[in-house]
Amino acid sequence: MKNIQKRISLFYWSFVFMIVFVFLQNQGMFHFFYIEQWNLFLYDSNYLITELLHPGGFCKLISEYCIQYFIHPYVGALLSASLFICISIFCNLIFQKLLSIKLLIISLLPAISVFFMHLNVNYFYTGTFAFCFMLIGIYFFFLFKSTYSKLIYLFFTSLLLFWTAGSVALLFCICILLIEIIQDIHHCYLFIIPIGWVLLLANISLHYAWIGEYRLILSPEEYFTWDLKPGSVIYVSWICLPSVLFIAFLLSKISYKKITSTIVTFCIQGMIVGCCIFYGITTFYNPSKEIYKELDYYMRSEQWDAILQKCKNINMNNYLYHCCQNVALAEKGILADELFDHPQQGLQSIYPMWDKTPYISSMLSDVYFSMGLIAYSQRMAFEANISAFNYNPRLLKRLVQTNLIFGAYPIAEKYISILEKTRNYQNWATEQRLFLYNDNAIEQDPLLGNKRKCLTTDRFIAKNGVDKDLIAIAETNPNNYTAIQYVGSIYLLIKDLSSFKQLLDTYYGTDVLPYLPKSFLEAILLCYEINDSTQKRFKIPKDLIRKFNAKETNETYWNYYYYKTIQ
Amino acid sequence: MIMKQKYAYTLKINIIAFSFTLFSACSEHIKADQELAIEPHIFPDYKGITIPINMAPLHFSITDSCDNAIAQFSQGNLFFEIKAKNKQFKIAMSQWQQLMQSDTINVRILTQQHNKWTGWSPFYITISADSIDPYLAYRLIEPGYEFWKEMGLYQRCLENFEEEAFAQNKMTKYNCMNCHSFCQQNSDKMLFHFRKNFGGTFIINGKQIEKLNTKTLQTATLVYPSWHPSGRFIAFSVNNTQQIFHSTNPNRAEVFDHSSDVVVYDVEKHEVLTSPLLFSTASFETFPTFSPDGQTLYFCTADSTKMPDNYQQIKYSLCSIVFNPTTRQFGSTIDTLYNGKQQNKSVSLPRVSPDGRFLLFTLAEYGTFSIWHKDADLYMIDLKNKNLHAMDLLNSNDVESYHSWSSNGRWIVFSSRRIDGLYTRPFFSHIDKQGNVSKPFLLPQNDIEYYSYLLKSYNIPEFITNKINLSAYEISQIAINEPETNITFINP
Repeated sequence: MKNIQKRISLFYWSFVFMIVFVFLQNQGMFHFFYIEQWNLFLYDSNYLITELLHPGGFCKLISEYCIQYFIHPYVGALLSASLFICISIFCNLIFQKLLSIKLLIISLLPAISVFFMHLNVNYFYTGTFAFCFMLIGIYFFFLFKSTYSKLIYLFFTSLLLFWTAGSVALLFCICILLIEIIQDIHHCYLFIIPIGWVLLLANISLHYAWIGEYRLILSPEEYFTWDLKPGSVIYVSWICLPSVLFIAFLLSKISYKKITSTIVTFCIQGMIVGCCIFYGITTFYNPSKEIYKELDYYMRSEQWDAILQKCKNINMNNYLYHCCQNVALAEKGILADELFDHPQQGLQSIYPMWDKTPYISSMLSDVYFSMGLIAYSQRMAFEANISAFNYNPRLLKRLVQTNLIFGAYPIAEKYISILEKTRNYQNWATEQRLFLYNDNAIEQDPLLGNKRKCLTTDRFIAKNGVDKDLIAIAETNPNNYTAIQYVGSIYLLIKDLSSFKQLLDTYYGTDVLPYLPKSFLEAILLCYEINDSTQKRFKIPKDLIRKFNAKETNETYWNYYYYKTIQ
Repeated sequence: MIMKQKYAYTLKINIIAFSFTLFSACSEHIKADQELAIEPHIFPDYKGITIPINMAPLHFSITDSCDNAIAQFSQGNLFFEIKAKNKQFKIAMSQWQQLMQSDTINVRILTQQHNKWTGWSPFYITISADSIDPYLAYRLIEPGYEFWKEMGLYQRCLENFEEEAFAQNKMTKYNCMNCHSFCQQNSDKMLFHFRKNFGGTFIINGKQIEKLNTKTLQTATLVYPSWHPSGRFIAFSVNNTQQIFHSTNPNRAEVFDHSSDVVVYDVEKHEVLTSPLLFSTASFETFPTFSPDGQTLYFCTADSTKMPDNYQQIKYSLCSIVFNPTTRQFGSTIDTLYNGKQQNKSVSLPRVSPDGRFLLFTLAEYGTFSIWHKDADLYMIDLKNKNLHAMDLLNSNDVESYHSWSSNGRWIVFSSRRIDGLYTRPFFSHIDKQGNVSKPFLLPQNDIEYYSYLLKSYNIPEFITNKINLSAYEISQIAINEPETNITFINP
């Protein structure tokens, strides 16, 4: 009988694990790649000591250590599914110990509530590890029988939890109090003492400025980007665990001798879990964010074709998608040729407005880098990196590149040495040492050399508009055809045909604009009088004029110009 | 009782010294297979520097390539060796205190590569009997453009490696905090500003803390402070500042004022005083600083101009005006000590030595915000004879900017970006009565790798003679809970 139960249990957990793993891998593959970028584990004693000296620092280190492996496919889903199962199994074991009920389906609920938070990029994995630690603490609580030994255990475990895992120490004490109420209502009042102990620890932490606010040491908000307000959603897992304990207590009162009552109970549990999963998916899962994370991954790994391919298959209803797509077109050198073959929505499609979030700053850094505006790319990378508490590999890499381009070698070397303390970026960083104090190597490098040629004589960035900065780059480095394509594209996107005309009059036929890409040719038909002379001057194909006259506007600038309303 | 303690301490030191000598006599020293006539490369560069008698141990690392390294320290009869760990030499406090008993430390480095030991030419560290103020206060912040995340005001004990925050913005909704300033290096009389959340100027006088709303109808919030030696007045600049970014200039950013004035705040009466000579639309006045006798107010000034169009043309002069603390009256004329326009240079951050003899300031090609100017260097005027000289021994190819004097006037601390060109670090230098300085040295750290990991700048390093006894928590509670006191502008 025991063997059968074990097999059922093994099958059940394996089945749940597989479901979770497949779901996470299918729906969140790029999410794991994305969050890997916002958590950096440094093999550096100063970093380790600094983290360990704060409440919750140990869990933070563990989570950052694990997240560094998310760079590999499947690892993120594998680890997350394992954590999910770990939380569920421990919940189940706790229910078994407390109420002698085996295989409760609702023991999945705390894990589900934690995992929906994972879909939010501002949530820290630290919270999940801390939750696991806390459940382990509750499980071992059942080893102690006397009130005295229980209290001693609670005193030390809550202290340990407080320091290693942070605010879950309070949830731990609350759950233990609830367990005691269930187990022995007469002595349960003694278990209010550990709650007071944790409150005291929190008070000490605040007095010594180990932590900034009570909410960050007494609530799950510790596991969410500290300067943002997560809202009530972050509390769901904390409310869920004691609630499930209470529900399990009620379920334990049902007699399982009758098969019908067992089936009914399991069905009710299944329905509760099913409803929670449905609610979680519809509330927390946002497919458009997952698309952006995928595009962001391709951007980071410079897979331009993959971006264009992806953009063909999605609803392009987001400026950020447009930006990724247009950077890909620019990097392939076909921005002004194919710009209007794809959906566009005004200036923001090519040049997003800075909302000061690290995510848009990071995107803008890539856009500016593509444009050749190195100083601004550096600035955005720097601003975004500060928001990421200074350790984001993608941004640190950009800071290395931009400083190398500027020839600011000592500071590039500083960022290189930081990246050399990481597992995933060590090799890349060491390779960059080749460029340190070596102008020749930089000038011969296709990427850095070309970007260095984009450095204009000094001017204040964006003082007279980004178009003027781009024109300066185009004049300085005519071989960088991207800059002039960007300028023309910006004018076309904002439908500023007079500036576009002026651009052509000034630069067409020069090194800056030796030939005209497709969208520019199309725009010429809108801003010049078409006659033999113009046709000859701009080498406008006859077929294009025919299409224009026939109003064949599909995938042309004319379509955008006439029919697209921009804000 | 004190004598007894001192005797016991000396005895303890002598026992330790004897043990070391005995140990070093018994142990076998490493012999070099070859000798080099050049000094090794070490970070930080502590070769040939002068340090105060109460300085924390100077931990350093060897940057020359090697498999193993040993540092031999000696002074008088004392000799001991330290083996490098990860190329870094760390000296125990007890050993360090032994070394500090004499006036010179002799350091010889031996490096091992391919099983051969190389002896490098020794270098010396001079120990000055002039002690340094035991604490340094500073802000740690990213040298950023617009953003910040975590920042704090810190105090570091210079006699050991203890660092403590006395204000941290994580406790006050990640607001900005800046411009900490002390009355004659006294931490019991200090001020700093909070910006944005819980904004205000905090004046601390012993256990009394006052939160001020320094906005008046005539002035925006007060900015760069300087205490009057009496502690009754504080001079402030009032700046309308903007920053803009270069496309290729190594200076990266340009910070400038569209307008600025100088005012003096009366701590007792909660009033702001000024003079038409300090509060004029025809000129920009900024960076006020009182002389140690409190009779003179130095400040920087330039003709007002359209900014940023003329950003390279703006040259700030160093001027002074008489101030009578009894009558609260300003003089009717302005003296010019350094004419920026004539010299085609721009002055910022004037600071007078505690004995009133020297005035140290920053000189750059143009403008007012020298921390972003790679050409910014330290200069000093001898106020006795008005002679000006560049502090060549202190200056580097990169930025030298903020600076302050120790209470005894024998040490200066200044900000420099010489290490990597971006992250500001504090350097110290001894200065004698004649104004001669010694080679500067970097603030020592327990683990010198800390500097490569730290992505924050040391901002506004200021000496303090005693520890700030307020905690970050206390300050945050006052910022959050205390009502502001309004101040009144007195028309000149």
